[in-house]
Order: sequence, then structure tokens, then C-alpha cells
Amino acid sequence: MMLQIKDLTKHYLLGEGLSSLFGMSEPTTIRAVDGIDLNLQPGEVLGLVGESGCGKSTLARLLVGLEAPSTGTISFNGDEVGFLKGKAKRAFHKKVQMVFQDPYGSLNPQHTIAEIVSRPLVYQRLGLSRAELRQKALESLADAELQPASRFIDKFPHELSGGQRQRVCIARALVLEPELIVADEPISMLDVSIKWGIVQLLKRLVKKRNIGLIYITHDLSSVPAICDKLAIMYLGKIIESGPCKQVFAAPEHPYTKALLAATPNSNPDVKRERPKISGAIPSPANVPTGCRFHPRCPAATDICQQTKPKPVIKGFHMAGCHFAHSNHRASEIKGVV
Amino acid sequence: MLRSLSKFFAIIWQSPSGRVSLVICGICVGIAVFGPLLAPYGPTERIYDDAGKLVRLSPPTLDHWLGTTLLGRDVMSQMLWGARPALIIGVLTALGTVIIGVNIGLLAGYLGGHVDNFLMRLTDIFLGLPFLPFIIVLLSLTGQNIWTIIFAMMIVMWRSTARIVRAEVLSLRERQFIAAAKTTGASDFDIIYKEIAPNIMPFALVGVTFALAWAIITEASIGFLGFGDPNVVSWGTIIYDAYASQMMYRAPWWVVPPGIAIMILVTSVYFIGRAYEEVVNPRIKQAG
Amino acid sequence: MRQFLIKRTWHALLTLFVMSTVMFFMFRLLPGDPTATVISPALYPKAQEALKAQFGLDKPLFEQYLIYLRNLVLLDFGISFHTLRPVAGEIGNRLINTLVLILPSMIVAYAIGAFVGAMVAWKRGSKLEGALVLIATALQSTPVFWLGMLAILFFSIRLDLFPVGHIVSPGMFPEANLQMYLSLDFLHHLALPFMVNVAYQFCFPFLLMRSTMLSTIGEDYIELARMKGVPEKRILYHHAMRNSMLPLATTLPMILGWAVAGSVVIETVFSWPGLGLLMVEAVGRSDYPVVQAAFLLIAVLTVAGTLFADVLYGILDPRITYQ
Repeated sequence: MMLQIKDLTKHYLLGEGLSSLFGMSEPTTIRAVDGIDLNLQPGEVLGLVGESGCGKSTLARLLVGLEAPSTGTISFNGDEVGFLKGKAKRAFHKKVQMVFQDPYGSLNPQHTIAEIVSRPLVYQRLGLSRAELRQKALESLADAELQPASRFIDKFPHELSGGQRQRVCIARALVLEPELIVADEPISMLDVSIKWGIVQLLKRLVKKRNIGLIYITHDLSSVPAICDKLAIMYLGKIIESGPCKQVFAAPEHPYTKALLAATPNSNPDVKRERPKISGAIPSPANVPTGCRFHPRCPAATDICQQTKPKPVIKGFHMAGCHFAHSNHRASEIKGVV
Repeated sequence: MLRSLSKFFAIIWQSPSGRVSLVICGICVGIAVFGPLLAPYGPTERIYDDAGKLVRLSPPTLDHWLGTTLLGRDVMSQMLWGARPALIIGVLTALGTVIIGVNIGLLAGYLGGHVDNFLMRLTDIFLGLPFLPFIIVLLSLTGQNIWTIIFAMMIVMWRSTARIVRAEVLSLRERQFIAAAKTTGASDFDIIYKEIAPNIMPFALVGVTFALAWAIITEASIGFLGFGDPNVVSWGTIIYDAYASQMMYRAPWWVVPPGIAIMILVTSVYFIGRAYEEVVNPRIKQAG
Repeated sequence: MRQFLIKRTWHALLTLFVMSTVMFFMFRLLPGDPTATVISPALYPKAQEALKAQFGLDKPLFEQYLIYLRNLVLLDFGISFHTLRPVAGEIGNRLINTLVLILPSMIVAYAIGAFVGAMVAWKRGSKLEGALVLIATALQSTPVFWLGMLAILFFSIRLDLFPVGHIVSPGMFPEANLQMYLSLDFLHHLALPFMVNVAYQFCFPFLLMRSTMLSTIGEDYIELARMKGVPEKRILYHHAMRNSMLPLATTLPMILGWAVAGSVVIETVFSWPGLGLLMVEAVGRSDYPVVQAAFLLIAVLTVAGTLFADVLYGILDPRITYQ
């Protein structure tokens, strides 16, 4: 297994400091990531889906080592990588790269494209010459299908379009030849017309280089085109996961059903149940008791309020719902249009 | 670095006032470099007439375009000699000031926490420090030469650059390209000096111009108060000599030229800084 | 609000404490023995020691420091090396003289600068605007002592309108008292340094107000007020100018600091017996108890100005909340 995450949590303490030391204010715990298990093989694409505020960006930051976990383990090729420092951390960064959401903010406006793409090699202290750095940047830009690379390489980010910038970001991630790429909403800020191209590019790269990809999005519509596996995240926890096709065909968790229902489908003949969920995602500072989805769940019962659901697993399909994979309640979900 | 500099000059050249100011500054630099070659007399050379009498307090004549001083020195020559120390002290002080200020601002803003608290308290203390009085006290204890003057000015002037840079770093460090650099293995040093610092350059350049203007005036003030380098003739010390001789009100040709030279040079430095700031700082640019 | 005040006051006191400490050690640890002028090395060792004891210089450094701090709190600045009288007695008048010159001219300069800056920005693009910007920048670029010398040269020497320097005519007021500050003679002496300081200090608020106004005028709410048919005068005074005041307030501490520190120069040109001139003279005489006292008082003025401006800013800007 290339990537194995076990019971990963990230809690932030708010109101720490002097005032809480003297007992003047109670620190609040923000459970951004609250117990997550995930696996990934090389050449596999995992889609991580959830509303904004569900903790998926925090999870991404944990995965690439921008933050250290509170508890739990992240092992990469069998090595624990959650708390690395110094050289070991740098070596880890070489293998795991990230593509950010904002192609405008994630490129340094004062650097040329050549500098942006080759900087990772400098930071990795690989001791390459100027010519070598430029050559690598050119190759990487070509891999990101920004062609002709030589025409872009001496430009500044502000001279490029959003799609071109995102390709620069991908080139920067590729230049270190990583084994895993974490892409955090890579297409959400792009024009509709170019989203598809970026998704296709990522897919080709995964196949060609046999790398793992974690594709984070709030929008399910791009998922089937690229993902092999799917994990639905809600309030810091994964509430449903499984092979992409299976989850799409037969969602078990009411939340997944609601998300799917909200996604436009290209096939007008497919009729789906359309359960309504109301309200906003609760604050991760105040996670509901029992099933964390129960305040918004149209099918919630007393047991949902009181007891945390255990993951129900059928084959590779997991769902964290008291009524998953059982017939007697799931079909009774109210609000079918 | 080079890129920012060439951009700096390109931006200034676009505005008419900036262009005029650049030319004036260029002339001043020219005088600082070649002035001593052009000067008919040495800066402290005493001039005697044919009868062997000292030419004291001569009004401007064809021989002495700007007249002579009480001790029979040629004011024109002193002016040509005096540009060099004024500019050297000004430029070195401005560079030093901005280098200190930018680094303190970068470290405080990026590292945050206790480092930030400590450095900002330090900056506050320096902001409360009376500028000239402190420099005078310091110079009276360390002795007066070009280097102590530069040091004394630098030690006080970095404070405002540090504040401006820190505020900018605070917003820059939250930008995504910083996180992007971290995920590629950049160390704190890499991030501060390779990612953030280039974005600080415009502020640093504005800082350099304003610090330069300040340093030239301050150097003159130090000279005027009698704390200048006694072995160097600069525009400030020419005014001091006139003042100390008690003859300044009888010999306007002696006091007026150095003051005008300082005024023109510093004005053009200010206009350069402003022309650049208007482009870099879009808030002012919008207003036209 | 109260917490904010307490915090700021605490910072101000900390600043002053650090400065007085730095002063103490600067005088004692830097090269150049400041006591050399009073305690001549030519004296017999016994006499030297006696003098040292008189000034408290025979005790260990740290003990001297503690005594120094205690004396500062008690406003005891020691004995002048030059006059051999307590420094505190001389310095009070000097402080008043500085304030009498600096404060009114600052207020006038700020008022004129802000008003003219706003007017010029309102009618932007006028020839007057360009000329004023150039003049203000040139004035700002002029060493203020040189400006003072030109003023004396022209107004006092050529036109004979004002006396050359000093605070009153010699012999008129053997002792500084309220009567002196109210006399015509004093005002006559004050006029020229006052005007020079106004001319010099006017530049910064003028240029700042102009650029702030220019960006304020471009704001949507000004446009909206126009469309609603609010009279131009009202827009100028109630909308544009009021909103452009804030940057003036934020930079006030800096400017106050410059002005007080700049008093060194302007007092020297006009032989104005304030703190600045006292300090310059005392440095020249190596009279370091006086230097210390004058410097610390100037620092107190600067820091107090900063504190005042901070509080003023908080009152002016409704968006600021005090945590």
C-alpha cells in the first residue's frame, strides 16, 4: 500500500494562551479532521468529496505535510510521515506534491514561469546548474501540456490565463517526479470550458506515470470522469466510501444521496430520489452527538441522536449510517419528489 | 534584484516629473564623481590675491563664481567637493537602513510569535526615540567621522521600513504560493528570502528613496549642529562654517548655494520615490 | 477602552525605561570619558576621587544605575557639570520654551496643511495644485535650519522686521515668568521661528491630505452622494474631508516626534532657549547630566505624543474596537 491513513485527527484549540491559563476562558476544540481512514495504491485516483468546511482542505494539508496531525498515523510506503522534520521532511516533500485551488494565488507574482517550475528543485538542494534547471522546467511544462513550453517559460504569471496557470501549477508539482499528487479543488476556479482539459490531463498523468492522485472537490460532477475510488466527507469524517461506480449507482448514506441528487446528470432518463437536506453544516467546534449528520438527516431516528454509527461494510463499499446496506429504512427516506 | 531595479527606472521614466528628477539626480551623481576634477581649487585651499592678501568674503566674481568664505576658500569648489560626501553618506545610510528594516520586518512578520513581539516592541522603542538628539548624543560619544555618522543614522532610521515591511509580510505569508513552496520542501530561509522578499522589493525601493532623502537632510543637519566629520567638506558643513563664523548674514553667497543644492537634490529624490509609489501602490494610482 | 489605555501607557513607560537605561549605559560604556572635562586628569588623585564621590561616580556601575533610576523617578537629574547647580531647576523653563514654540506651530501647520490639501484635491488638476505640490515638496526637502537662516537674512537683516534670534530682548526679563510669555516683545521674537516652523511642518499634512482626498473622491459613496443631490459643499466637508482625516491622525505621532526632535535644529538657528538648544550646548560642553535630562525630556514629549495620537485615532475611527 502506498498511502495508508489510520484514525487521523486534527484538532485545533482556540482561545489558548494566557487567558485560558488563568482559567479566564475555556479553550474550544475545533475538530477539523476527526478520525479518518484511507488507503491509496499507485495509479489510483481517489475522489474526496464534501461541502466547504467539512475538513477536506485540512486533510489535504495534513497529507502534504503542511500541518502535523493531532493523533493517528499517515504512512507512506510503510513509513510514518506525520511528524517529520528537517531532511526527512524535505525528502518526503519530494514524493508528495500538491496542486492548489487558486491558480492565481499559488504562483509567486514576482517569479517567471521558469523560476516557479524549477524552484522545487532548488529547494530540494539537488545542486543542478541553471541550464539544467531550465531544461527540467521545459520538460515539466511539456508534460503539463502547456505548449509550446518555450513560449511561456519567460513570462510572468499575470500574463497567463487561469487554465495556463493551473498547468504551470501542475508542472511545478511534476518537476520533482512525485509518487502522489494531492489536488485540492484544482478546477473549481477555472472557466467551465477549460475544466475538462485539466481533468483529462490529470488522468493521463496518473496512467502514464503510475502515480497516486487524491482529487478533492465539492462538486461531484467531475468525479466519474477521473476517480477510481470515492470518499464522501462530512464534518471531519468519511461517511461513505467505495469504488466510484458503485457509490454513484447505489449510494447508501442519506448525505451522499442528497449530494448526488444535487448534481446535474447528463442522462435525463435517470431518475433519482431527491431527499432534501436543510440547514448548514454544523460548526466543527460543536459536533452533534450520535451520528454527526442527524440534525440535517431526513431519516434520522432516536438511535441516530444517541449512538455513533459503526461503519457498515459490504465488499469495498463502506457507509457510516445505522441504516446502511439494510432494506428496511433506506427506502423510506422522506421527501422523494 | 536586477529585474526590480530595471523595472524601477522604467516606471519612473514614464512620468514627466520622475524623468526630470532622474536627470537631476544623475547630474548630482555626476558632480559627486567628477566634481573634484572640475573644481578649480581644493575644498580647504586658501586663496590669495596677487598682492598676497587672503581673499576673504569676496562676493561672486568672474574668478570666484560663488564668492569666497571668511577663510578665503572658493565656495564653488567647496560645492563641487561637497556633493560626494553628501551622496556617499546618503546612499550608504539609505541602503543600510532598508537592509536592516527589511530583514527585521521579514523575520517579525514571517516567524510571528515571540520573535514578532520582541522585534515590534523594539521597533516601538526606536519609534519613540527622538531622532536628531539621539544621533547627536551618539556622535558625541563615538567621535565624528563618516562611518559613525552613517552608523548613527542607520541605527535610528530602520524603524519605519521594518513596520511597513512587516505589515506586508503578514498578508503575503497567508498567500497560497507560500504553502506551495512549503510543499516542495522550502526551508523558512528559502521562503523568507526567495519567495517573500521579491514581493517586498517595491516597498524596499520606495523605502530606499525616502530614506535617501532623509539621510541627505539629516547629514546636513548633523553638519550644521557641528557634529559633522571635521575633515570632510560637505554641503551641510559649508552651511555650518558660515553659521559658526557669524558672517553668514553678510555673505549670502556662502550659505545660499549649499542649501539650494540640498533642496534640489532631495526634492528630486522625493519625486522619484513618489512617481514609483504611485504605480506600485494602486490605491493612489486610481486617484490619478 | 480602559484596557487599551492601560496597555498603551504601559508600552510608553516601557519605552521610556529602556531609553533611560540605554542612555545610562551609553554614557558609561562608550569610548570617550564624559567626566574628563570636570575631573581633570591633571588633578591630584585625591582631588579626583573626591570629585568622583561628589558626583556618585565612585560606586559600582550597577549601584550607580539603581541610584540613577531612583533619581529619575524623583525628577532629580543630578548636578550640571557646567553650572554646578541642580539640572532640574534649569530644565523646566527650557521645556516650556520648547512647547511654546513647537505646539502652536504644529497645530497651525496641521490645520492649514489639511485644509489646503483638501481644497486643492477637490479642484484637482489646477495649476495651483501643481505649484503647491512642488513648493511643499521643495520645502520638505529643505534643511529647516537653512530655511531659518534665509528667513533671518531676509526678514530680520534686510527688512528689519523681526529681531535676530533669542526669546526676548536681552535684559528685559531677568526672570522667565508668565508676564514674559504674555509680553509683546516675546511675541515679536516668537514670530519668525514660528512662521518658519509652520512653513516646514505644513508640507507633510498638505501632501498627505491631498493624496488621501484624491482617493476618497473616487469612492462610490461620494458618487452616490452626488447622485442624491447632496450639495457639493456638504459632500466636501461632511463626506470627503471627514473620511480623509484618519491617515492624518495615524501619522501624527511620527510628525510630533519629528517636530520635537527637530526642535534641536530650529532652536539652534534662532538661539531659542529651549530643550533642543540646551542639549546641543550641553553636548558641546560635555555636561552629561544636562544632556541626559534634556534628551529624556525630549523623549518623554515624543512618547507622550505617540500615546496621545494612538488614543485620538481610536476615538476618530469608529471601526477600531479595543480588545
